[in-house]
Amino acid sequence: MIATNNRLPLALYASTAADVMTPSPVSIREDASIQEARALFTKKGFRGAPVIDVAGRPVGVVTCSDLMIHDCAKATKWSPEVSGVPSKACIAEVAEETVTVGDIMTPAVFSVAPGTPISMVIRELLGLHVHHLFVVDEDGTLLGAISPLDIIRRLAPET
Amino acid sequence: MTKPLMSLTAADLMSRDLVLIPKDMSLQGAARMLSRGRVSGAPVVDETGQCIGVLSTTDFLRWVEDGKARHKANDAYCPSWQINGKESAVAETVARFMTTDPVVVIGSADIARLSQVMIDARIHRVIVIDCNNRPIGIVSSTDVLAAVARAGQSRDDAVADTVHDPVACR
Repeated sequence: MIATNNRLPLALYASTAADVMTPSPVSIREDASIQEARALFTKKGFRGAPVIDVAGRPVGVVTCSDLMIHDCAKATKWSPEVSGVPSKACIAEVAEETVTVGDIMTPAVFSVAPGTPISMVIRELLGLHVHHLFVVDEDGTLLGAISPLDIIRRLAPET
Repeated sequence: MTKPLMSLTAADLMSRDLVLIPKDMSLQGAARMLSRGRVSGAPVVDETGQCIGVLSTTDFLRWVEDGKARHKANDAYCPSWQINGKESAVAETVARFMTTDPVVVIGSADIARLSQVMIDARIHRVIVIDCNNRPIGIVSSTDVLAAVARAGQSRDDAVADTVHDPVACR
């Protein structure tokens, strides 16, 4: 089955991970506070960010969902009298705690080298069921991030 | 999947496994629905089931930030448990913190249109509605990419067949 209708087939105008990545993604340090992470997500409208160590190497990913689950779980613990529903005041108090991003992140990084062929990048994104792949150099330094949308953006009819 | 790539529609690609959030639900309840459903956002519906917005985990964090700011402003006057007592339950519903004007498509929207909507709005999920504006599914950018990858794979197979297996050319 050839991928055409009565229109032209699609082609991907990119060949490597470096071609499609969003360079220098905004990252957050693993020792940053929950408050800093929340401020980053709400001000910039991000739904997640890579977490880096002091050397700039990615060590995990933190998402809005991680923060939300953390907020709810903590607040529930703090106010068991309201049958598991966190009160707003409790959430406000939770916000003052000392938990770091490193404590709540998903401590796994799926990364590819900048020269990885695009077909492999797509296979990894789909096979690993992740929303982002990170692009790192030989030293492990974060260079960029790739989402499915970054690839879709470079699809165009073959000419 | 036997349909050609470019004729695939939102209805073909969408997941029908939907989390629907009632507009009058509390934000805490909605947060629980999002985390149980393992989704980062979901359509908000009114009493008639019509889609009136979308609530994401980012909206929830905004609500926490907002509460923190007001908490701080009121700090000099009363302790937190009093502030909590004054909060009106009605004011803390999903409808107040959701994003209105959700990006939606109808089931017959094709894959090119879906991709364009995602690229233009910079979003990874599009709500699919029926003719009555009721959500019937969600298409993610991963769903679109998977369809493209499948089509590319079968095209490569077709080319390989014509080269290596003359029977395929008949």
